[in-house]
This record gives sequence, structure tokens and C-alpha cells, in this order.
Amino acid sequence: MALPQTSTVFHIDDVTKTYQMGKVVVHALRGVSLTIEDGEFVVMLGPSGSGKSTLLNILGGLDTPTEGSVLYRARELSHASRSELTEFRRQSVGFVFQFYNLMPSLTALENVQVVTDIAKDPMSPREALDIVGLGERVRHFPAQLSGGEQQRVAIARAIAKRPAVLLCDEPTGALDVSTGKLVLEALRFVNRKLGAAVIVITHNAAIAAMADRVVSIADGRIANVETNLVPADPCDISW
Amino acid sequence: MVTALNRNVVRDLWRLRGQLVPIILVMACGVGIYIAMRSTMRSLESARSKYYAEERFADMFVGVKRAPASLARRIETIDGVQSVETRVVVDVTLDVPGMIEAATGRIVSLPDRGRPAVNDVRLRSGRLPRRGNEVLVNEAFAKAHVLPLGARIGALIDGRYDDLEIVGTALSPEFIYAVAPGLMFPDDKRFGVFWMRRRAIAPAFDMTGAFNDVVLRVARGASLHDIELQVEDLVAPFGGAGVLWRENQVSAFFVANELVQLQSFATMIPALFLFVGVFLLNIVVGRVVSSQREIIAGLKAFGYRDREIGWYFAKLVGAVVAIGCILGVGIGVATGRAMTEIYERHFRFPELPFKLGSAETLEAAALVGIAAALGTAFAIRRAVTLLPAEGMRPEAPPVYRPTVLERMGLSRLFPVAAHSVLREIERKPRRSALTIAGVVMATGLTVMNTFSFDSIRHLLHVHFGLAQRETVQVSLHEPRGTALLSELEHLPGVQYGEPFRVVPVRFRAGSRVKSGSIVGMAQGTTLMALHDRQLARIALPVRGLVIAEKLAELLSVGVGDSLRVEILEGRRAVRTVEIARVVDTMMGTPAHMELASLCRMLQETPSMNGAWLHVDEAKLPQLHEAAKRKPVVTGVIERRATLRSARTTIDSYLGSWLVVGLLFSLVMSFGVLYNAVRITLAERSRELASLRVLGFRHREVGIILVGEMIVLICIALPIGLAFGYALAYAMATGPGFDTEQFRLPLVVSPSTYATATLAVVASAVVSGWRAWRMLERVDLVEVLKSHD
Ligand SMILES: Nc1ncnc2c1ncn2[C@@H]1O[C@H](COP(=O)(O)OP(=O)(O)O)[C@@H](O)[C@H]1O
Ligand SMILES: [Mg+2]
Repeated sequence: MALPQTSTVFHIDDVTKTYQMGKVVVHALRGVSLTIEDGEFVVMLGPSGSGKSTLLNILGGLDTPTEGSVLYRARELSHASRSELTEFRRQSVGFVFQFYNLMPSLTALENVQVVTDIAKDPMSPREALDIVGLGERVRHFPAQLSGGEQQRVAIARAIAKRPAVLLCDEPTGALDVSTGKLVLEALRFVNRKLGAAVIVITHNAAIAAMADRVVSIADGRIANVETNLVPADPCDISW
Repeated sequence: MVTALNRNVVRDLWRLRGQLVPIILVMACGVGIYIAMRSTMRSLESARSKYYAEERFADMFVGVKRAPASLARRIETIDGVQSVETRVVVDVTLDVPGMIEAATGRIVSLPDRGRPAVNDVRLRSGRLPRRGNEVLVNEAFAKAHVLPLGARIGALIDGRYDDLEIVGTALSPEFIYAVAPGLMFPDDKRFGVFWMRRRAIAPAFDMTGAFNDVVLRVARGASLHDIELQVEDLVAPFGGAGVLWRENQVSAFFVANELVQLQSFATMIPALFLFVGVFLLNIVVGRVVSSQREIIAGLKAFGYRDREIGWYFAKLVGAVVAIGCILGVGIGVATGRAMTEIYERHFRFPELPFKLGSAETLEAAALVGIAAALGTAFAIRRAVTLLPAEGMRPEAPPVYRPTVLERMGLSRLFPVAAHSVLREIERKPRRSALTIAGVVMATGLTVMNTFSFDSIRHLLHVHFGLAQRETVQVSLHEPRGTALLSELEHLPGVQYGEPFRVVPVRFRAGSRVKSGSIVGMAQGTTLMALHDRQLARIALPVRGLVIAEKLAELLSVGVGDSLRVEILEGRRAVRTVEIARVVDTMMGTPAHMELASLCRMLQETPSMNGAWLHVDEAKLPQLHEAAKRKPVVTGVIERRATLRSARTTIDSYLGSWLVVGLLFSLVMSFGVLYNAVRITLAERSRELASLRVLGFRHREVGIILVGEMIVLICIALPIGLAFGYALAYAMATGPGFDTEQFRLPLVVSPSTYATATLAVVASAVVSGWRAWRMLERVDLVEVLKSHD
């Protein structure tokens, strides 16, 4: 998907999200505006509870904002129906979660195949696993893989459909440093070689070094946006 | 004191309600059916014994040709005989207002004064007859024809039409199941019982100072065999037709047989429900213990004793059993009432109250309690013996393997989602097998419930469609020369006729004795055919007897053996006849013989006492009219009408059972399937919601959810249908269905299999649909937050 560098993937404007918890209203997002360009590697940084996941879920079409607009390319997502959102996720979004969310009854290869079976122009499952360096372990079940390996299967699953955006919520949250780095390298590779925009959520500031742009979130608002002119290589990062 | 742990029992019950409700329902049905059937059995038994006692129902029935009244005294003096009543019992042709065909009436005499000492009647309306042609009629006949008191019915008595005036309606323990001679099903329109004073009926049948029927009651503890022998000696000179014990009296037999059938159902069906209920409980409690091992370990770490943990789960199980039992009592009462109502329509008791049996209720509760304890003991033991440190460690992850099909190299045939479904099934073989077993039982239950319909319809078809071909069967007052046939052939509409001769006999082979009759029919008869069970035509041998297999079994004889035949009419000759053929029949214990050779044996010129007639259907009304005026004709039975009426009876009787039974099998299959799909949902909703996040449509993940159930059903259904056939086989050959009166043929029609399949499919659709909707409501965002 070689789209022009200038084109915008997401444009969100004054997005708020509130949750009603009995009598209490929780403000998860309090007016967030942000633009994300094609092929960008964005890290969203912020303390726990600041609203990062809420924002990512809205971008990924898992949730809709209480107010504000969310444009994907030129399409408005904030009022999309459930099935429209499903189609959006199916064709355009790759997800990587903190807890991998693989199907335990399927092998690594089959976990990827699950997604390629329904995508329009996927790569082969084996190719996706090769990218994340798991070409040797395709026949293993998740229970037979380490956490880092499972997460890399999850990344392979996310990229196999050649998504326009890859959304990762704390992808290294459950991993130690060295396996975490392997995962970040895979994300980096996908971003550079496949041209997918990657948004990584983390509360780990060290990871910010590898981003094109770092968006800091605090208390449901964007506190700061920084641009890295020379993003660091994942193997040079440590935490 | 409500401890925190106790409160948690309630919470666990509530949290697990999706899985527990089906278990409770299945258990409640088992308890309910047990209670209903056993209580109904009790109610029937006690209504019967009360009725038999109050109306002094006979222990023995003896028919004679004509015996002097003085004989009664001599019977009375037999040791052990308590009371004797002699009667005049005759079958007459009736002309009921508004009915074209003739009906058969059985007239039973009442003593000239007072009440009979044996076989009294229970007056339902009006009064006892006093004089002349006043009669009591059995209530069912009066209701079937809407006859008010004072109504008159024509009866052909002694060649003359007399009007019988109805002065009352009555019931009798002799006619609880009122069925015309030779038939299996009551037909209240075509068979009526009338009681009239002896002096009014005796002269017409030359019975003044005489009787042709005697019933007696026997003292407790007396030897029936001894009495039988002495009675036979006394009546033999007067054309005694053999002694019938109460157990073989038609009405008493059918009532008793119903109880026998009920007994086997009351064991088999609750057992199925109990089994299914307990295995479901076993699965759920096993899962609860596994999923709560960390909590259990934590509690133990805080110092809870093993015993207290065991108690916790015992309370959980106890609560389920208790709710199931309470609900079961409700179901039992409702079902018992429904069953009693069905019985009330087919068995004429003065009253048939349903009484919930407390012993039965306690038995059911105890059975369920014990079964549940046994079924969950292993899982609870696991909780009790869990070491705290061990429980803190997460359980080893489930091991998945390529399935058998994949190892056979068939994996390419299935999409990835199917692999996931199949591997889930293989990973928990025990649970899958139990679910299959549950569906198998539910399917089998439906088949067992429904097949008797097919079987009886088949029996009717064979009997009234293949064997009997006549338009009407005419019976004669007494044997006549075969020349009478041409007279009958001149009745309106008759195209041709074929004669038969029925003679009452007693078969004797060694020490075994059996009363019955021989039907003689002419070589080349077309309106009546003999068949075996495979429906192959059987040619009538020129010499010798063709007897029913059941009769051969009772007498312990076979082809080529000789039977002693004591003829119970005329000169009461004793002959020896060879058995030419044994035939597997479904109704009664018939014996057939070639007409000419039968007459030779009787030392009669060729004679007949009935005929099968082929009649132009359009002329049937005229035929009936003419036959009513013909003194020698005592009965005209229209084959089609008999068949129709039997079908109606069967449809209404078995139809009611069918509905009740189907409801229960639906609950069973629903319980099994809903429980299974809810467990799948509990175990896989996170995984499936993750797929939704990845862009799968609800439909696509829904299929994975219900796929497991579909696969298990596909495996279970054929086994279940086969199991149903096996149950049907067990039923058809078991007590209550393999009797002297009838042998239920084992016929299971495609529509029965279809019904059983449909019941499972319907339960699957309801269960699947509900789980499907629940999966739809799973919060996708929530799923991503937690680690299982
Ligand atoms: N479903 C929900 N209901 C109520 N409050 C929620 C819900 N989801 C998130 N929140 C609240 O919104 C805030 C932001 O949450 P989240 O986006 O998950 O933060 P982060 O990912 O940055 O840790 C938190 O205060 C959280 O408690
Ligand atoms: Mg978060």
C-alpha cells in the first residue's frame, strides 16, 4: 500500500469520551485533537489511566467517542454502525495487545491464517511469520511459545493483512527487556518496509526514542507533542 | 450467621445460573417424572383395589352353555369359595337412534331383587331397573350417544325387536376397560353394556331357572387351582367353557398391563434424566473447582480447613439439588394430574384422584441427592485435597494437538476455524463424550416415546388392512349349515360372502392348559388371510392347526406336536390335532383350521357361525337395516369403522402421551445443549471477542461458538437414533408389551426418527441462538483489558 507520504490516515478533532459509572461521570478523554500521517511511527506516552487505551480503541473502531469527530482517510468513524466498524477493522487495522489474545487451539501459522483467510490482499501467513523471525516455529501452539514469541505471532497476525495502520496497546508490557526489543524491532520493520502507520501505546518513556513523533497524554488531554528528527534504533534502547 | 463464604455460595449460584438452570431443569424433570409416574401408579392401584373391593369384583369367571340355578349352591360349597353370583350374559344387536350400523350390546343380568353378590355395579345416575325392559347402561355408552334417562334403544332379543328403556347409568369393575370381544381398543359408540333384571331377560334366551355365566369370589389364601378344578368338574356337564381368572379377564388385564407398562417407564425414563442431570452437574462443578483453584488455595492459605472448603462445594451442589427437587415436585404434580386425566378418559373408574405420594417424593429426592453426591464427589475431593502452594501456581496450560482427522491428512478439507473447533472437542474428550451421551439419551427418549404410535398403527394396518379384507363381518346366534351363506349373500349390497366357524376350545399339552377358540375357514378364502410378522401370506394347510407363536409358547409346543383339544360346546368331544404351522402374530392367541376338517373334527355337517361379506359400500345402510331384522344375525361389524374408531382412540390416547413425552425430551436435549454452549461461551468468549476485534463479523465467530455443538450433535444423532431403536426394542419385548392379548411389533417410522432429530435440532437452535446473542453483547474493549 504505497500511499503518498503526505496523505493523512487519521484526523481526529476535539474527541471526548465519558463513562457513566453509576452516578459518577468518568472523563477518559477531554478534547483530543490529533493528525496521524501515513507511514508514521507514533508513540503515545502517559501514565496509567490517562486515556491512552481509550483513544487507541476509538482510532481502531472498537469504540466510538462521546463527542468529536474521527476521520479515517476521509471517512467519519464517530457515527459508524457496528458492522461498518467491523469492516473497517477487518480491512484496514492491525491490532497488537498486551496479552497477545491468540487462539490457544490454533498453531502459530493458523493463528495468522485466521486473519489472512478474511483479508482482501494478504501476504502468506508464513511470510508474515518470517518477518517477525518465527519462520521456524509455525507448527507450535501458543502454549508451547514464550511470551515474546507469542507477541511476535500476534504482530505477524496483525501485519499479514497489510493494514494501513497498526495499533499496539502496551505490546511490551508483559515482556522482559530483551524479548521486548525483538518485538519493537518487528514493529519497526513493519513500519519501514510495509509503510504502515504504527501507533504504539506505552507508559515506558524509553520506547519513545524510536518514534517519529511522541504524543504525551495526561488526564485525558494531549499534554505535549514532540518530533524526533532522528529516531533511535530499537536495539539501542534500554529500560 | 451469614458468613462471607455462605454469601459467596449464593453469588456463585447466581453467576453460574446460565449453566445451572439447564441442570436444575433436567433434574426437576427426572424427579417430576418419577413422582408423577409412581404416584399415578399408586393412585391407579389404590383406586383399583378400592373399586374391586367395594363392588366385589370376581376372582373367577366361568361361562357355561346352560346350567340349572341349583348348581350355584353346589359351587358355593366348594372350599374357599366366598360368594357366587350366577347370571345370564348375552350379546345382542342394538339399534341405537341416529346410528346406521348396529352396535353390540352385552346384556348382563342383575338378580331379581337387590344387588349382585359378585360384580356389583356402581350407579352413576338414575336408579336400578325394576321391571320389564328397564336397563342400566354403562356410562361411557350413554355419553357417547348422548342418551338421557328415559331414552329407548332397540335390541334384537330372541328374534324380536324390543325397546330397552334406560333408567340409569352405571360403572362396573368388570368394564373399566370396556372392549368388545376380540378387540383391543374400547369403542364406546359400538359397544355398550346393559344390566337388566334376570326375569326380564332369561325367558328370551331360555334361561328361566338357569344361567350361562357364573362369577365367584374366593376367600383369601384359598388355592385358586383347587377351586378351578372343582368348579370345572361341576360345570363340565353344562357346557362349561373353562375358568377365567381375574388376571385374564379382559378389562382387568388391560388395567393391570397398563400398570406394568407404567412401571417400566417409571424406571427407565427417570433414570435417563438422572444420569443426564448428574453428568451435567459433574461437568459444571469440575469446571468451578478448576477455575477457582487460586481462590481455594488462597482461602486455605488464610487458614480455612479442607473440610470447610469441601462444605462450600457441597452446599453449592446441595442448593442445586434442592431447587431441582422443589421444582420437580411441581412438575410431578402437574404431570401426574395430566396423566391421571388421560387415564380417566380411557379407564372408567368411579373416581381416579391423583394423590402426590410422599414416599415417592422422598425416594426421588434421595435418589437425586445420592446421584449428585456420587457425581460430584471426585471434583469436590480435588478441591479438598488441593495444596495451597500448588493452587497458587497457575494450572498447566491446556495441551492442544492436531486432531485425528488432521493426522489422517484430511486437514486441508477444513478451514482454520474448524480446526479450532475440532481441537477443542478433542482436548476435553470426557466432556465431549458426556455431551454426546446426553444428546444420545434425549434422542433415544423421543424415539422410545414415539415408536409405540408407529407400532400400533402398523398392528392396526396388518390386522384390519392385510389380514381382514371383508367389508363386514357377520356373526350368527348359533352354528348353521353352510347353506345359510347364500341367504346372507342375498342381503342388500352383498356381492359375495365366505363362511367361518368359531368354536370355543381348551388346548391341553401335557400339564399346560389354555382356553381359546379355533377359527375354521374354507380353503380359498379371500376375505381373510393369515400372515406372519414379515407379512408373508400363509397358506391354510388342509389338515392340522395353524396356531399363534404365543399360544405355542404358552403350551410349550411346536410344529408336528399333537395338541389335545377339548371342545367346549355341543357334545364336548376331546380330540387330538396336529400343529401344522406356528405363526408369529401380533394380536391374541388365535388358532386356525380348514373349515371342512374342523367340522369333521366336531362331527358336524359343514357349518358356520359367521361370515365375511364383501359389500357394495353404497348399500351398507340398507344392509345394516336388513341385518338388524334378521334374528339369526347377532352382530355386523364394519371393518373400516372399527379401524377408524381404533385409530381415533389411539390418536387421542397415545397422542396425549406423545405431547407429554416430547416436552420432556425437549427439556433434556435443551438442558444438555444449552449447558454445553454456555460452557463454551464461558471458556471461549474472550478468544472469540478478540477475533471480533481483529475484524471478524459476528456471524463468523458465532459459527465457531456453535460449531462445537453442531459437531457433537452430528456425532450424537445417528447414535441416538440407534439407541432409540434399542430402547424401543427393549420396550417392545419387555413386560407390558409382549402379552397374551397383543405383542407390540417393533416398528419405528421415518417420521419418528425425524421427530427425534427435530427435537434435538430445535433445542440446538434455541440454545445456540441464545448463546449467539450473549456473545454479541460481550464488551470488546473489556476483553482486551484483562488477562483471562
Ligand atoms: N469501561 C469503562 N468504564 C468506566 N471507566 C473507564 C472505562 N474504561 C476506561 N475507564 C476510565 O477511563 C480512564 C482512562 O482509561 P484508559 O484509557 O484505559 O487509560 P490508560 O490506557 O491510559 O491506562 C481511566 O480513569 C479509566 O478508569
Ligand atoms: Mg491502557
